[in-house]
Amino acid sequence: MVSPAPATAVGAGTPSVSEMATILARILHRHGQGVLEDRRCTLGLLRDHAPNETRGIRLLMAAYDMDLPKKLTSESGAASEFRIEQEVSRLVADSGLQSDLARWAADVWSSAILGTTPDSAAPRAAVATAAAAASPASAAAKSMSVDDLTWGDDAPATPQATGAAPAAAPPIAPSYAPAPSAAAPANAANIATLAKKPTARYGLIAVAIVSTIFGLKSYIGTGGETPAPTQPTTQPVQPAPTQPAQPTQPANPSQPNLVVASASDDVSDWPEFSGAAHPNNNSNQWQFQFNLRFGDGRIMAYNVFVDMDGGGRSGTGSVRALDSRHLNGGSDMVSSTPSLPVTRELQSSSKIYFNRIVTSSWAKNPSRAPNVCVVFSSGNQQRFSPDNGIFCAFELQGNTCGQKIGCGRL
Amino acid sequence: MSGDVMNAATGPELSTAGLARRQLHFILAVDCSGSMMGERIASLNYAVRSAIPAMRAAAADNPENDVLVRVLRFADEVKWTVETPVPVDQFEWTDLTAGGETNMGAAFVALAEALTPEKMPGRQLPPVLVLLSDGLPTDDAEAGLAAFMRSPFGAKAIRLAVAIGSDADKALLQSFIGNSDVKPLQANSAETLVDRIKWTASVPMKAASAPVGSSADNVQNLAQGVASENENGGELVW
Repeated sequence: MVSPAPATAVGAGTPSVSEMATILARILHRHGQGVLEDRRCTLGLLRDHAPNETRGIRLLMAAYDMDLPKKLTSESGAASEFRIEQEVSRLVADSGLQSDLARWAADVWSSAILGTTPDSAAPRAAVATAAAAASPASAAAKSMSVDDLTWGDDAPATPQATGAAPAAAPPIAPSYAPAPSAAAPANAANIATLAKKPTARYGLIAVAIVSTIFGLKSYIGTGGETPAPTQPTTQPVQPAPTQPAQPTQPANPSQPNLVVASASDDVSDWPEFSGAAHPNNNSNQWQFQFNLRFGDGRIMAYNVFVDMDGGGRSGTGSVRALDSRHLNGGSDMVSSTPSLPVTRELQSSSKIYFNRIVTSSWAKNPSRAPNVCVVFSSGNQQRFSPDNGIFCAFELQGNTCGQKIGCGRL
Repeated sequence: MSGDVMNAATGPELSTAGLARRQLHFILAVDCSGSMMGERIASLNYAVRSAIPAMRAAAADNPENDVLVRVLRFADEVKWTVETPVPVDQFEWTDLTAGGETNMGAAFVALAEALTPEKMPGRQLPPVLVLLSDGLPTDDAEAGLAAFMRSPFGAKAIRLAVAIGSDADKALLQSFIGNSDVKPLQANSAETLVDRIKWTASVPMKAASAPVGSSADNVQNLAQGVASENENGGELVW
């Protein structure tokens, strides 16, 4: 959460979050949340209960028109701060609101609907602050995260040298909570449709990924023509001690905060997984992590590490996986692959690079991780960008990528 | 027979009904919800107060009619602040205060209950209803309006509306008026609100008391009057 003090206003003409949330909560208490089904009534009530807060009401209604209250009311239990972060980013991207104003609106709605008081929202501020501290600019914080979030003793502390196949991925634990989603046009949605077809093979997957990337051009900022969307000034890039994201935290798959890659066709539904990075500031190396939910209900955390050659045309990589049920002290349950080939293809018309790693074999697999085909890209940059990437994981059927399991953003 | 008099000179009976003065009920329905707080309700109070002379003058121009005034306020509750119809000469304005929600539907129901032959006995001209609102209804206004339109005098009334501020629900106000030729009067500042209320407090009275058979012309005149008023929108403050 960016706002340093959730109870504060975001500028002249806008009431504090707590003031407006109190008013909104009073309305909802009096009329029930069903009143939110009626836009006219909602607006009328806001005007009647806060006649002097024209600006604030407009902000709230902008969020209302983006279905924010509906999404919040559909939450089971309190929405995670990361979920709210997602909504803030969506508001920024889709409505053009400034991030602080979007955050104000999201905070008011969430406080009023979910009953969280601004005070109880304080941990969110801590999360955001910690997230900022965990950014690459903060080496100390990053180091702490790396040290604290190791999966187990079998994970090497540092990746191997460039060009060498890493025996295992670097010890950065997966992030189970989504960072804010950035602008994600929904017009590239049919990736899954393509991928789901029985005949879909690498070519189709490639097309699908490329289609997705086309749709995400503004998000990725490829080509230099479309500026990247406005991002919140602070993002929960990586969990930090104040909001422990150690594997122990999301151990229970039933926890609502355990975010998994989305099987949605709508790119805007794809969650963002934090923690993608260049290990050792080596731009040829890239690591990222995500969670996948499988058909049997299991949620597996995956950690991918790739190391491309100098030309960026190919490379090697490895994947580790852990059944989320074993996240708590389950270092013995970490599955890991041997060195695997990473292939890269350039989609000629779009100049989009997409990469693929397939867990065709496992060095050890105590978590019984299913084989997956992971296709990922960061747009038209020859070198990976740790941010603004996308990925999709598919079931491995034979030697080919089969049905989509889920996609996400990095 | 009761109510009749015998003319001693000629003998034939004359019905006093034929000579009875007609009543013209002028009803103000005022939105006093929270959104009216501050300058709007203050301006409205001032506007109605300053419109009283114009109302009296309009009534004086129609000496054959008795102009009776009532005032309904609606917010959380609907309440007649002037419940018993008061002759315009005796009408005094008591300042209204704002606060609460906009139960406009309930206000329509209250109007429907008042606009009945039982509550309005005798010869009646079409009542004149002026709805003043700046907001959006927070109850089922459509149901209330439907009930109002089913009332004996509701559909026959001359209905006008003043949209206070640019955010008023003009679509609903238009439904209340029930005639697409007559638009809601728009008041976007204290100054224009005064003008609108003065206009609604006088001009429609003349239309209502016009001879039978010219109602179409009267509506047309009203529509033109409203359009002319709206052309002079004044400064956009609200």
